[in-house]
Amino acid sequence: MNRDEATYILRAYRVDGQDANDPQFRKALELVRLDPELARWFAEEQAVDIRVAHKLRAFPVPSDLKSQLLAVRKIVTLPAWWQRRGWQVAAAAGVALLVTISVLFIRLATPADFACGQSSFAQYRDTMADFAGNKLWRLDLNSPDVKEVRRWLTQKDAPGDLQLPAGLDGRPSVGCRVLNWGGKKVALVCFELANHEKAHLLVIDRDALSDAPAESPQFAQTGKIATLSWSRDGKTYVLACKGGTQSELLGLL
Amino acid sequence: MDELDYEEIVGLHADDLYRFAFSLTSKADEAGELTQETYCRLLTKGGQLRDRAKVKSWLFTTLYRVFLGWKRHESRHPHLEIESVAHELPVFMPATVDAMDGETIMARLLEIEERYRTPLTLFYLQDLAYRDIAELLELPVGTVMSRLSRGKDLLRQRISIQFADTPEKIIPIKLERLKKTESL
Repeated sequence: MNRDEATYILRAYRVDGQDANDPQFRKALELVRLDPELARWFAEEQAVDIRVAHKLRAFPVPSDLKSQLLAVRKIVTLPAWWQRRGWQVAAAAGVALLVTISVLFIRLATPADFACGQSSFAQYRDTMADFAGNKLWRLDLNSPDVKEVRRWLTQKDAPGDLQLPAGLDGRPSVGCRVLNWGGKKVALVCFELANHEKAHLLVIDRDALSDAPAESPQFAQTGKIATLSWSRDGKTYVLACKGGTQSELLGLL
Repeated sequence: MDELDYEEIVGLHADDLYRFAFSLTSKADEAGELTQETYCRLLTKGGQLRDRAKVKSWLFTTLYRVFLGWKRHESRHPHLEIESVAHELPVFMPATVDAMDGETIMARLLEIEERYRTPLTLFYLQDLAYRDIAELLELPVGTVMSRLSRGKDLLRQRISIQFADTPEKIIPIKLERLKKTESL
């Protein structure tokens, strides 16, 4: 660092010594110690700067400035804590977390309850299809033994005496679960198909549905879930399969 | 922010903020309004400030941002090219400045173009280091140093004009003189 550089840098040096530890100034100040002429210039520069700073800080400020600013405190309406950004973000995150946990809890709860009121069969079918297509739930019983599945369902007052369609009969099950449709138990039995997709057979007492389908299977599509529905021997069946076609489903009957 | 904090912050920084505001607006009522707006923002948004050490810097920065907002809104501050000044290191007898009061210094400061006046005011108020000033003005550190140096020259030039009838009070030392001394 030469004298010109030092003078240039030291012009930004505050007179109260606050900048003494700044590495940039330290080098320049070191040069000041070694260069008497530079030291003389710096002393004069500082002497002027001290006075200018002093004068500037003596520039009169309105006598009522501070009292006005303190009065502002009384006038300004502070946002309530729940309106402040930090709280809003935290609250939103909390609510989102709570909703997520609640949804997961509901999905995983046993049995799954669906309030139906005066609902139609179509509503029942679509609700069951939607449930079957959702992965956020678990089976109550995991078992490849259909007999065990039947026994377990019966113990839970669900229709365990269901008649499996020919395409599923003899096929090992994955497991089962009990759902609740307006107070009536629904048996859900899960099978794995050859293409590794799952087929869900949902069975409810026919009396629980005012407009239950006839024995002849009806095809319907609910989102990505294809369904076949029919009634037999006092029970109503819905066979739901993700991505299935009508012919594929009919092939399971 | 509780009542005591706010009072303390008003007590510590209000005067310098007002002076800084005056150096920007050159009008007492606007300077007061600018200072008040800054403190209003402290009340409404200061809760985001976690580090008490940054309050001062936050206040000066906020005041400057509010001023820029006003300026953009009014669009009546045409950019003026600075007149060229001789590159010299004018040195005043300290008594020259002693003879002036704060209002005179402020008046001379206000004659300087804003881009030099703003960092120079912040520098003389001693609240912020050149690095903080650079951050506040969103300028490179080198530019701030350059503007401080040029701003000082301009301020002293303005003062020297006021004392033109008594030039013996001002002793300019040109760079050439320093260099000659160096070569001796």
